[in-house]
Amino acid sequence: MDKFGEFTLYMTGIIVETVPFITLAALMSFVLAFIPGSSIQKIFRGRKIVSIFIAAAAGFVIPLCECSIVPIVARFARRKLPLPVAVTFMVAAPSLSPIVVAVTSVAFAINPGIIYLRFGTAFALSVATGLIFLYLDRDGRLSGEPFPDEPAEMCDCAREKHGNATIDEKIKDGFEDAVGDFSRTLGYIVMAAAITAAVKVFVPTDIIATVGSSACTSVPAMMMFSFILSTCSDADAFIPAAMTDFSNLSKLAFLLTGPVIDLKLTIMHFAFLPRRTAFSILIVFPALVVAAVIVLSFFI
Amino acid sequence: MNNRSGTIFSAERFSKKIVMFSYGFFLLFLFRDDIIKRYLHERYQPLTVGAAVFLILASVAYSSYVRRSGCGKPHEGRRLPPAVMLPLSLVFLLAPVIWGFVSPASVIGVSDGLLKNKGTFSATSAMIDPGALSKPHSSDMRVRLETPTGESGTFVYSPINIMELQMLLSGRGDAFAGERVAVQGFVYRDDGRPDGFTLVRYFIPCCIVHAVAVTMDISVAAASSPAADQWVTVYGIIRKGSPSGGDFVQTFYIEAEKIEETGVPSDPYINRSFMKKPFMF
Repeated sequence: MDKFGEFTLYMTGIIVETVPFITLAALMSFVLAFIPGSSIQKIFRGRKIVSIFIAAAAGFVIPLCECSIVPIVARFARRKLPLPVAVTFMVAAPSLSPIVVAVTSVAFAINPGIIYLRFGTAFALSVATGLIFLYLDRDGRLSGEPFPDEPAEMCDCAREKHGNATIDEKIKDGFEDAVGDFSRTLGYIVMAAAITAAVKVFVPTDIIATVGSSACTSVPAMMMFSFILSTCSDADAFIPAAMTDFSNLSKLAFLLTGPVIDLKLTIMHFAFLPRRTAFSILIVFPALVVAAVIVLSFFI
Repeated sequence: MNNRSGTIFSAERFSKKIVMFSYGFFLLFLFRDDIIKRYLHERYQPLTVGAAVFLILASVAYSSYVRRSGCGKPHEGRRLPPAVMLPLSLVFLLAPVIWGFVSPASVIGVSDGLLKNKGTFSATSAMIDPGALSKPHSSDMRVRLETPTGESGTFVYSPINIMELQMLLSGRGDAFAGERVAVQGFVYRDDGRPDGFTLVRYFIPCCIVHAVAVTMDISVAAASSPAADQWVTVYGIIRKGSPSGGDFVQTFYIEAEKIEETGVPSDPYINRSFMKKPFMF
């Protein structure tokens, strides 16, 4: 197969895998149209720390992957879910979902320590990320920023309609939201799939694997590897499971990073979330992974 | 363009209809001749059908017309892109679908570089069925041959894919040493070993881009050793150790009794794992 054939195969493969999930996310957007933003705000007002823990724990029961979670979280945040809670859920859901638990258990059945480490650390990192965002957003600096592509101004008749919508109008609005989210996400997924496929075909990732076999460079190398590969969180466990030369901590760094930060997700974060929030995730989360690995290195 | 009921034709909405319908139709198209198996792990397939049906229905239900509001502006909720961008973005969004229709999933092999990028996958485990390879079973293959050691007769082989075989061996390998198995894959040669080769098949954990190479060492008489990249079915006996000797007592290989050169099978990738008979071959 020539390089172009490989490129198109991988690009189409990513899209075929992702489209069902973004369709699921679009359906979620439809459902959200029936939940007034004021209700969401009322539930979470004044209980942010407890909500962060609940959002992290919700990751264990909600089977969503990392591509579908970004538009859903953006839609929740637009409907007044406090930003730190939204970010916590965005970190937790793809890292802790039941599918990820099942697949990791199979891939690491002969090395069960990694399974407990992955989910224990991912839960702790989800909570820590939420708490850091709570601090960063203490003066509303993050949540006050507009979402990308947010309507700059809405005419009065539209605002009035959004406030007092009938069931029929809500169904129509939900359908519009769902189609809008699907089309928009698809655009970024196609772009991200093209970049990921190009990296896969043209960048020699075996260099990273070689660098990663050294003890001191293995953790950052595996994090970088995870970022470039943009593996689906539902199945990422099989890749480090195959790498017998790597330490458990570097494998853990791979497993913690991929579901939250990778090439395709970074594009989506900047497309769906306010710019400062997307930038903060890109800085805060890898730093937390490194910190977690350093702490764990004293015990493992 | 206006119509009588006070609605405006929206080229953007019409494009969204086309995109949703095309993706829905494409996903269904992949189930023709099981092409989907070359892209995805089987657990994603029900969701794929559901998404395809939803997208087609949504494309039919979605209107290309937008109602004029009281203020006379279309309520798209955001600024519309310049008109020239629409056909460009439509081509961009539909490109993967067009490629997918024109050239449905070709099969990757050694020369595609995936193997060297990924390393090999051999050490995993799952629930082990102690009687997994015991015979007879209705799916077993009976092959009449003369073995390299001079035995002749009809021998019974358990057909199994090399990933499930590796899973069994990593759990209770000793119990399976001496069993006859039939395995499929393509030939990989990296060291010019005259006494054998590495049999490879790709396992798709989610989608083809993240395929992982699963390997099994095969020992074989030099004269019957097939060429690199050739698809083969190997009938042989599970042996403990390394085909070239050495200290790797925990590894296993297959001593080939017969190697049959084949074309690319209908299921070139391993995209499911049952861990019970009949295995995915």
